[in-house]
Amino acid sequence: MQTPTWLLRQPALLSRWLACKERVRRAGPVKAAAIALAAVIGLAALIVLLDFRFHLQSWMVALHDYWVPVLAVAIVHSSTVVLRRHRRAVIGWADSWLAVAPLSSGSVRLTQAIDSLAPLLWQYLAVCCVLMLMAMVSGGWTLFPRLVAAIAGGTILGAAVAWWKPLHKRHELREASRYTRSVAPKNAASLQPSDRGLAHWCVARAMSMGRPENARMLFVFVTMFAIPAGVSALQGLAIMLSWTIAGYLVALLSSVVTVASAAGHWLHPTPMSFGGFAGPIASRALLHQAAGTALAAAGVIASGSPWLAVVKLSLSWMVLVMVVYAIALRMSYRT
Amino acid sequence: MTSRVLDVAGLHAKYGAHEVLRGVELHIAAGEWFCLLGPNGVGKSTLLSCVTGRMRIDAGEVSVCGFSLVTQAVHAKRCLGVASAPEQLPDLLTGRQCLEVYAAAKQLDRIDPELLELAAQLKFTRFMDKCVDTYSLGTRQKLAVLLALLGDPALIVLDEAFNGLDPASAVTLKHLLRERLSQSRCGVLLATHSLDIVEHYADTAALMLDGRVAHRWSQAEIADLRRGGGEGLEAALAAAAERG
Repeated sequence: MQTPTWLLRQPALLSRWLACKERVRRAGPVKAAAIALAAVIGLAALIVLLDFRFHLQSWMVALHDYWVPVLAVAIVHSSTVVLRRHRRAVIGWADSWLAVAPLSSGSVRLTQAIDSLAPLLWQYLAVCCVLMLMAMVSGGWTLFPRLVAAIAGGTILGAAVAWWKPLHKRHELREASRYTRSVAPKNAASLQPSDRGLAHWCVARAMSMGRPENARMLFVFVTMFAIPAGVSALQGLAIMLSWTIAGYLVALLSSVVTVASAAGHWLHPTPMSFGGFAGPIASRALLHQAAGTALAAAGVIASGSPWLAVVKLSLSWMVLVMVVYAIALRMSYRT
Repeated sequence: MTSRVLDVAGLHAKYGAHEVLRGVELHIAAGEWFCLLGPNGVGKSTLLSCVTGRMRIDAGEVSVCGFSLVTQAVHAKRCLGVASAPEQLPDLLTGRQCLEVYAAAKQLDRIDPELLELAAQLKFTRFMDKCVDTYSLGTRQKLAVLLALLGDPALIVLDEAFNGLDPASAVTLKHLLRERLSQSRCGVLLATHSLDIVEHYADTAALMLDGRVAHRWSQAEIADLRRGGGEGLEAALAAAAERG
């Protein structure tokens, strides 16, 4: 494929273009198996859509009637995505090999804008395709334009707000630890061998994932979609609490996998035993998981859900957590 | 403890089909500062990865203080002090937590007060309770070195560990290593491009080329080169590279 001439005047974009071409080249020709898999997935999606066609129309009507919340969700989503991507783009640029090249600030901004906004464009197009399919299957074409316009309006508004929002200072952009609880030593003058740091690491990682821009998204979604109309304020709070805890537990599940891998690599040259490695990493995380699951389950039961189903779900979650932790720790530990 | 802290015999290692190390032989005695030299991409870091047990060896034998790194890995690793690359340090732990965790991982009963003294000399103490992700490259490097020195290891493995250190800290560290070496408390294996270190501090050195040790300089030869000044060493390196 020929390189467009205008790209030659934009070295940063040119480097991305060339990298992209190389990735495509390495991927090789599309294999028959991939085509068959895509066809099967497409067919399955079509069957599901046809099966749900009677519900689809009512969903389309509901989305159409509640276009203001749809707009609000689009604003929150796009602002969150752009804020996160913009931050990453700025950090990535500072670390990139082209950061020291004499490029104009306009060229740099253009590259960062493409990095920040492109994922949003793909997501918007994907949502439009899904809505188009829903409209085709259910015959709700008249509802389609307002929905697409609401999503487009929200996406553009949210992206614009996030793009022009001032970023944190550069040194703050890098520090994940600004969201974690600081640990004051009991006796700063002494050092003692201790594995407490390993236990703290997982929780710190989960806290750094729960940064405000991520947590805000969860709150908005929960408020809009998870709290049914007509519930009491107390029940609403219980639902909100359960979702917040659930968000933390999911972050903690993923943080143990990340930390196990990083700790395994870092501590590899030491004679640490598997028990000494896995115990501290898993123990506090498991304690948090058990306590959090119990608390979230209590919140869900308080909001009126059947207790037996909640208990089953909680137990299933704990089993999943233990299986994931065991596999992650075993795979990360190598002597 | 044997007087030999590291024995590498007939070491072969591959990345996929690409053979990076081709029969490396290397021996370091207690009290010896050994410098590994060579252009980029000849296998220096791969050799260090094999010596520290990070990378699986395909053939040959690596022993630390007489313990095989393959069959007696735990014993061998008790004798090892490795400075991780600065980017490998855990970003969400404080320096103190890193030291305490590493000490626990090395199964130490206590942390030597000498290490705290060194931390103070390196001006690291004020960073001790800050998270690693707030550190500069030099500060991370200091922490990596402190971790390597935990537990008075018999073999200290450093990969370009003086990069990023300010001159005062670099001199402090070099003197500390020299002092430990003079008491035969350890051996040092350092991969470096800095001829200054070879000239002023190393006892022995080797040039790696194409996955093999192409040339060795004995203690006497290094002493001769030292007398000849930096240019003598540069010329010797160039000549050895030419022959290799």
